[in-house]
Amino acid sequence: MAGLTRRSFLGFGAATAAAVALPGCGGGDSGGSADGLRVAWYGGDPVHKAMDKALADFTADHADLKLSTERAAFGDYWDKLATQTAGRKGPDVFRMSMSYYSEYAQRGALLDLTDKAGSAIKVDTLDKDVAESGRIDGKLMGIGQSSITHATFRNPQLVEKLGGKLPAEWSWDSFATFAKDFAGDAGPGKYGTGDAGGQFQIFEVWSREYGTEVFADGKLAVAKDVIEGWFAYWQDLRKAKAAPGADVTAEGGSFETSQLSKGASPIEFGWVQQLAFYQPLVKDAELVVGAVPGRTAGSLKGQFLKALDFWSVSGTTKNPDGAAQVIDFLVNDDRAVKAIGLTLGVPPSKKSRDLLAAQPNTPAGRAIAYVEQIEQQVGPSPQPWPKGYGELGTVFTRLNQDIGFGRTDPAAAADKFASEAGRVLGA
Amino acid sequence: MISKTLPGRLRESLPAYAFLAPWLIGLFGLTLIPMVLSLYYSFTDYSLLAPPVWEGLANYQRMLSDDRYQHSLVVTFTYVLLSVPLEMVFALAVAVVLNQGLKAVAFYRAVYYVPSLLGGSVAIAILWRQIFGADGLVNQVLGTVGLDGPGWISSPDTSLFTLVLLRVWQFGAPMVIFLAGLRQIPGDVLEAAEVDGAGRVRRFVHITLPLLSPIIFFNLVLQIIGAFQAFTPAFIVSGGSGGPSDSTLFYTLYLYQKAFGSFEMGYAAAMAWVLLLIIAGFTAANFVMGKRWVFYADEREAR
Amino acid sequence: MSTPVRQRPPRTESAPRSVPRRTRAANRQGLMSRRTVAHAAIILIGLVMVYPLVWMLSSSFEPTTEIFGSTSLVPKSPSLDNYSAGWSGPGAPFSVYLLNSLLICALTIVGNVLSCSLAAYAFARMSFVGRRVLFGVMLGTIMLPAHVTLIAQYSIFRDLGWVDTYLPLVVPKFLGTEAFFIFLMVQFIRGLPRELDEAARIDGCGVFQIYLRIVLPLLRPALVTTAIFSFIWSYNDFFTALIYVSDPARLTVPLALRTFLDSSGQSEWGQMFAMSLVTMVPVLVAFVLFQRRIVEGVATTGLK
Repeated sequence: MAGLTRRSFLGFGAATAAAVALPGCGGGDSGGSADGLRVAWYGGDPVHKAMDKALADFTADHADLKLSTERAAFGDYWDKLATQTAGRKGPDVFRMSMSYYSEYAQRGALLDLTDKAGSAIKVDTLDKDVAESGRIDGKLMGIGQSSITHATFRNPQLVEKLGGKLPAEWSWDSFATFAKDFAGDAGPGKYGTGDAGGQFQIFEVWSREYGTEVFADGKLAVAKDVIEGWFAYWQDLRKAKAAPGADVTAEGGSFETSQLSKGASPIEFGWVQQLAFYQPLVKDAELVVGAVPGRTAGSLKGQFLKALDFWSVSGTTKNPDGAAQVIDFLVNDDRAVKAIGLTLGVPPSKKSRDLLAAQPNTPAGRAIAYVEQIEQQVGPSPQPWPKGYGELGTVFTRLNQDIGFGRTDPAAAADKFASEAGRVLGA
Repeated sequence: MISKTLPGRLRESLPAYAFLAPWLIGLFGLTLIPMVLSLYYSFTDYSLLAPPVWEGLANYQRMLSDDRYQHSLVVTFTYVLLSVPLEMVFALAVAVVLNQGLKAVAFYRAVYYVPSLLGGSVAIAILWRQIFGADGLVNQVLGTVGLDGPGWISSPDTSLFTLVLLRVWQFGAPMVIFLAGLRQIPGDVLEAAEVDGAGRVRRFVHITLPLLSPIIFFNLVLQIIGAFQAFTPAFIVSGGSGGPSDSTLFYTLYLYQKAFGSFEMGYAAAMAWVLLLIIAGFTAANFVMGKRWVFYADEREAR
Repeated sequence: MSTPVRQRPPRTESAPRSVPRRTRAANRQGLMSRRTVAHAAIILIGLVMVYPLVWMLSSSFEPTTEIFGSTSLVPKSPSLDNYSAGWSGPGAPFSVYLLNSLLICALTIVGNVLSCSLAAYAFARMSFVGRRVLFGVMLGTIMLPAHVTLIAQYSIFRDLGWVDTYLPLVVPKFLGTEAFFIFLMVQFIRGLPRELDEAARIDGCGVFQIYLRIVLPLLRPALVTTAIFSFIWSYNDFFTALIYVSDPARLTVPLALRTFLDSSGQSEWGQMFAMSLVTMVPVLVAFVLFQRRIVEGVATTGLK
């Protein structure tokens, strides 16, 4: 390689071109051909290691298929995937998130897997709602990777230190009372809960409890007063200092900087598998995972169990059969299930969960137990989020922030959200 | 010497085109086509995931009624007007001091350049929080004199200013260019003036500044272009949102959100071309004004 | 405004003179104290400049959970874990990524210096048809945000079969696409008096020889500046590398650093800090070396 490098200094243009191309695997298209497959995913280091291990096992079985892999962190991944898709050079098999699912599915960027599901890709062991989570406009464009549901993460020690006790379940009203009481007892700098007012995905639970689905048939279905009620609820908590002010929340934004991780609040909202991310950051207490408050205490109708992450296949793949084999392997093969573990979330089938046999006292074990405990009580799963969901999610967060900074009020924010939704979804 | 006919002039231009050849290949092969295509996209509805659909001036009209777009203009102009002069003055001052032949000057130069080495590293997000956060260094210092500062980075009223300071902190690029320019000023000129009894300030104003003017001009033009296009600082520090409450929504950040977050590449391309016009306007104005204060050694005879 | 050039003595090959000038100046009254003040100011501002980096250094010895919320510069329980875990890092040892990046940087420097100085010479010193228009176009190419040209550029490189190679990161540099540097060199060349070229022309030098023998040596500070920025910018370039480099073994340093962070899961800030600092070392060394070249370059050309 040193010789090549030296040579390339001598000239520019073609000579350099050859020199730089050589150190790799020959340059040019390495994927997309009939005997090669490119597999791409997003995630952090644990995901990369797990996927490499799983795919190594796949390669051992399928020496005829040449796999190459592409990986990036969540945010970067989408920039790259969009560019590749625009350049008609998307990876063959890739991880897809519900946040962008409709964008890709409804624009023909994904392959319809309807004929593969049940044959090339076994789906009969998948959890009830998970198998169908990827169905959109009658087409199945993604196979669920994980079973996911909303959750609250709770630090019981923080509450007990003040002589309080965490209830097993809350109504939104009793939750507000709890948060205010805790903050009152704990004094300044401590809050009863992190501010979930900007979390559009948690709002979905509220919306389903208080009225309708957030979206129906690609349009905003929830009424403005339900949105206003949510914004007002959190503004009330912020005013009472039961939830942190907008500036404090704005400074957070990651697991590491959340109020729960800093020991400033006993509650944070999120998705169940995030327990595994919070627990290492809260070292002096064992976190408990529980349901999101309901309209009445214990009501789980707002929550649902669903896959929000999929394996999808590019609409331009030249090897749909190979792609299906990879997906089937990742979802069903025992070696893949073991290699992947919980890095992609709670596995989407009882069979896989039993195979992992996670210790009940580990974060993974607690997350699995929670999923299995509420599985039968949650409401029906909603349609896939519509095109523009990602943008509306950021609009929602910003409006909650604007209210917190006193730049607008809940009623105006709800109006604004409805009009933005009309614009984004309308076209 | 100069031929009047076009073929003659073209023939005389050949050596220059030979020098320009690599650049011309790059221009036509790699740069111009994407630029022209992006202009075309700006008249289309283009999601990236599906082919573009022609829709005329709709994207341009939309800017007139887009609050966030107009807000991003305000944010960007504020940023440009605050950060460019600050950075320029700071960079020039440090370069002049470092050019004085202080001992250990190489060490200082390196120290001053280190922040710029971090570039757009994600580490900056945490560093800036550490300094300008509610519990950050600035507030700890203020606390020792009994002042209670806000969370500078997380308050919409102050967050943009922390980004201005970030740019000033990373002033290494213009500083190095100033230093190189100062190195190009012939010592004998300054020395002659010193012998004539010109003081330090007079020498600086009457000799250093005029001789450095092409470089000052270069830095000014490029810093203005760079500040208008600033993306990474806000992207990193706000986690891509331009928040809190859109207070750091730079023009290019909004453009990026539209292109890759909302799959509205057509709108983003239109925004890019409007930005190009804005920047071109500023640059042209700079060139016109530059004629009055920029001094080129190679134009001596012309004067 | 006075025209400073009148004061310039006729250009002869004068010996480097900065040393005696400095000795003479040092004898002047009050200069010592002025210099002390200058030192003090430089150091004070310098401290403010480097505090964040010292904090980063300190944090790199702490576990990720200890990093947040502490402004102290002394790690509570220092350990090298971040360095050892980070180095063996995401997939391959960091030395692989460093070498990848250094290869790209080296080619970038050569490419930028060559292609941009050629173009700059033409723009600054030669008259040709379409010069003003092309100069405007050249400036125009740096005015369009990269995010919108990216897609079409990607298609071009895809058609050339260059995706998943380093070619899209390197070849454009040989074709002068970083117009910033062309403009930079134009400004520097225009700061050089024309009679040097004319003298050379009378001696029988052709344009290329003037470029090679007269302009390039005198342009040294600008060339070194170009080299420094080429190096640092290409070393730090994230977005282009993200789009064009996929093979895990061929990641560049910024891409590898990003693998420590993931907003959808756990982030290893400690390891990211540690490796950020490690990977800054080559840049810093290169910077110090290059910087010295500016000074030497000036001393040896005999211009000053």
